[in-house]
Amino acid sequence: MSNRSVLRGLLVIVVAMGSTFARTQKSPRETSEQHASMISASDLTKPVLKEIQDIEERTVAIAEDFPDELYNTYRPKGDPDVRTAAEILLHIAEQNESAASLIRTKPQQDALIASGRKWAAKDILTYVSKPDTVTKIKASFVAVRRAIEENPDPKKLEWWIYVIAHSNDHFGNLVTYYRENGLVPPSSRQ
Amino acid sequence: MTKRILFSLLAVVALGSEIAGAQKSPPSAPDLKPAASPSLPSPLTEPILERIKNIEEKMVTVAEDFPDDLYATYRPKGNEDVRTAAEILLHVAGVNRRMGFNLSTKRQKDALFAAGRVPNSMTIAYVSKQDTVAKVKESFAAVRKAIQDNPDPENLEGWLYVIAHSSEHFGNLLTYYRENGLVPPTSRH
Repeated sequence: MSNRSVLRGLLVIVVAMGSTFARTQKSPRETSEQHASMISASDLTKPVLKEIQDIEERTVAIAEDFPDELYNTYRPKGDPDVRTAAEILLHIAEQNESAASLIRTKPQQDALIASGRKWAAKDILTYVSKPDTVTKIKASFVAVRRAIEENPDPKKLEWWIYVIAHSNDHFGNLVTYYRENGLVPPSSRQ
Repeated sequence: MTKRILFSLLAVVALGSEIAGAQKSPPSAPDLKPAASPSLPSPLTEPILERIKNIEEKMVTVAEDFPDDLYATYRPKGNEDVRTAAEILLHVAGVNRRMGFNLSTKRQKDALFAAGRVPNSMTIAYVSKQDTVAKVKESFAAVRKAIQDNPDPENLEGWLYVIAHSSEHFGNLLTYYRENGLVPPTSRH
């Protein structure tokens, strides 16, 4: 590349930047709205999916690791009003599936039901076994991620965030269940 | 990209001074005065701010409600490696305070730098229950202000981190109630 070409390129950049700076000052809201409309769906869903993948991995690790003898029996202070680890995990799975339903478009949801892949909350929440719980947890996070990928509409952000907040909240319960039994949770092991 | 590089450099400088122990006293609380021209929530930041407000209210309620006799003493199984409720709350406050800085505009960061008010350390020492409540409130206010003043969607990862991190530790705190035979405020009718 000749020096002339470089200078021409720089001139184009400077002029372009100048015109950008010369624009009327926008309010943060206007800027954000324009920016939000300009950024691609993948730019928006990438950090969301990353955060979901993160809590998914940590939750699945607990679903697979939590001791068998405590899995569906241990409750803080033996209080029957408080969920066991298995019940917490199944609750997360059920809420994830619900959120996925709300994230999908109606045609997507209808197509899913028509294909026979319809789930019932009662079926998810019923404890069968540890391997079944692991399967349900995994399937629920996959359902959420697929729903976001297939319908990356920013209007659904509220539900994407819900999955992150809700799952992390209950992950925090599970970590403390380990500690209350004198155990180190998988995420804190060296 | 430039913003990300600058952010990384600022973080490295700040962490460097923390590691070197240069900062002896805790940094001042971030400036929580409302912006001169408060920005309105955008379609993107609105659900984020709503969720942060939600976890903020629940966290503050626990900070105010958790029993005095357990506040900075109870640890599951008495394990010294596990945080007390106060330590969890101050940990959340410390991370939020740092994120409030990280998510601010370059101009705000420069101003905080110039004023020597960069939250170098994420560790906040326990003083009292009232002080803990204040620190938790300030930290969430700092995050919300940063999002309102700098609603750049490129910060989405950071906004989500605040939500995920605070939610996880809120889950810890609820189980602390249950392990002591208590009903957490969010489950009381």
